[in-house]
Amino acid sequence: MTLLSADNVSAGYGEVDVLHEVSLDIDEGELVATIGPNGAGKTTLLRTISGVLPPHSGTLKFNETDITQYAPEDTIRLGMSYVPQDENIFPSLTVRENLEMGAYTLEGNFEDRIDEICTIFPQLRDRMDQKAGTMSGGQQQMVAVGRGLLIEPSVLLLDEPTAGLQPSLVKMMLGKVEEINKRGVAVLLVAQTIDALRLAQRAYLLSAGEMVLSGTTEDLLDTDRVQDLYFGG
Amino acid sequence: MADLFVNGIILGSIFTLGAIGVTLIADILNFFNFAHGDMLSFGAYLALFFVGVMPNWGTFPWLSFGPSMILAIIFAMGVTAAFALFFDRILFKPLRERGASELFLALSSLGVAFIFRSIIRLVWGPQAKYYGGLQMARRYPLGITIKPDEFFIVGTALFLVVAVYLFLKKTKIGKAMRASSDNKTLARVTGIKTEKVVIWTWIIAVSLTAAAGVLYGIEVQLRPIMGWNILIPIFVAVVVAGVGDLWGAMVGAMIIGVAQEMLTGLLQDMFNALDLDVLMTAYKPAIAFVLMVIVLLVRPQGIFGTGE
Repeated sequence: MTLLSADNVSAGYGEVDVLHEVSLDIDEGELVATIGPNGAGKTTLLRTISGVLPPHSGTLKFNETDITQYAPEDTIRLGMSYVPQDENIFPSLTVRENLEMGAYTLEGNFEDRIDEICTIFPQLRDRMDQKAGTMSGGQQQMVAVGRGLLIEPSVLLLDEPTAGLQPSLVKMMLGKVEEINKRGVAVLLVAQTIDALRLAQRAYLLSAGEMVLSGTTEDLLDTDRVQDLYFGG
Repeated sequence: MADLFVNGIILGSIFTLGAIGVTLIADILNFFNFAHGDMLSFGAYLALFFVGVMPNWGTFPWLSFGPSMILAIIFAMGVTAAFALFFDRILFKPLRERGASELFLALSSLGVAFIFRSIIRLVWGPQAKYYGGLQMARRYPLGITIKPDEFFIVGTALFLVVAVYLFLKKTKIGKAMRASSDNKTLARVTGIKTEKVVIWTWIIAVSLTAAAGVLYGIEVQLRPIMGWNILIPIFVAVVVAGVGDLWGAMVGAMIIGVAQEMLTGLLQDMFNALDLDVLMTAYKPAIAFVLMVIVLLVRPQGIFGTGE
């Protein structure tokens, strides 16, 4: 069943469109990748879906609800969680406080949720009282993704969670994304590497703000455009 | 000298309450609130009104005022904050929604400053007012003289600083305020409603400055211009410390308070020794300003600022 869909969405900064009539959909529990060269509009797409950037035209739907005009503080209340690529933590807040902010929309006790995040990212458990801004890049990514998972989202929008990480951490983080998806969370992943793309069941290729290819990951991997994207061309 | 230092601490504790408010508003609403000083005066006059209408419950032992002053502080804090929220609704909120720049917001706050000052002049008149009786200072070693009221001033200021610290550290909305000050977009992404944070920022910032006004009124006297006159040292305290830090605002305010008092005293002695007829007390704000210029030249991000 379709969980999230974008229909002919155009969006951008100021008057200028960065995305041109982009359409995509994600089913419940699915892991879908968005790929494309730098500047293709992948981040803009996630910002638009989450509500940070209001679309200029088109329709966004989540569980049959029209969320085109929703602000980010509204989309999260529907169960959509967005983890930006950078500036995705509150540096002056402790790790625990960062996770608590992830639980801002929850009522009542969420200790068990924080506990569950710590089973996904055990490194965070001993660092609960450390200021997030003083942590390494990899640890900050864990805080950011952990924060996004607190509400038990039905879909997680993940913008290049492996950007700037060392190879061992990239592997770890991608393993976590897979694990999160296996727990039933649909993921829209901006995939920077071929390994990230391989996690996905389906993928969309964005180029210059237009959706140029879509299909199963296997099919896309056979195309020249995707080969060029990851292996030079 | 020691006496001037103590005076500086007393003044600094009043500046602290103002500076915390200025820094919170600068951090979360993105502008320097030029109305902050006149909101401080307004708080002081509201307390005067409240003490006037309350039955006389006598005075505390040692102090020059009684329980009605405690209630008056709370009353002044609440009513001044309510006025600030009113101005936010009719002025700052529409400007925010139109994406007004920091400069426009700051200039609008200057307009609000004049409104508060005009209300004070209209209602209470331009002449100086006092809460109650005069108090004699007591002598302590090292030539230090302190009025018992001044212990109350420093104690109340400290109590309020700790209360605000705990609010920001422990409550959900307090943490949301800190999160918003770190990163507004990310705060919205986590579901924090910016307008709610803005409302709480006004409540905390303005109720603190109203309390500062009452304490300043206890220390000196009430004049319509009282808050405006200490707005410069309060701004300087914030700039010296670096915007956005509670403890920084406190340390900055103490530095300004002490430096202002001691440098004024030192320069006065110097001018007296040179037989020059200069009254240094008139130049106190200038000293704060010179300190700010020095700090900005040496460390533009402020003493505690990270230079973002």
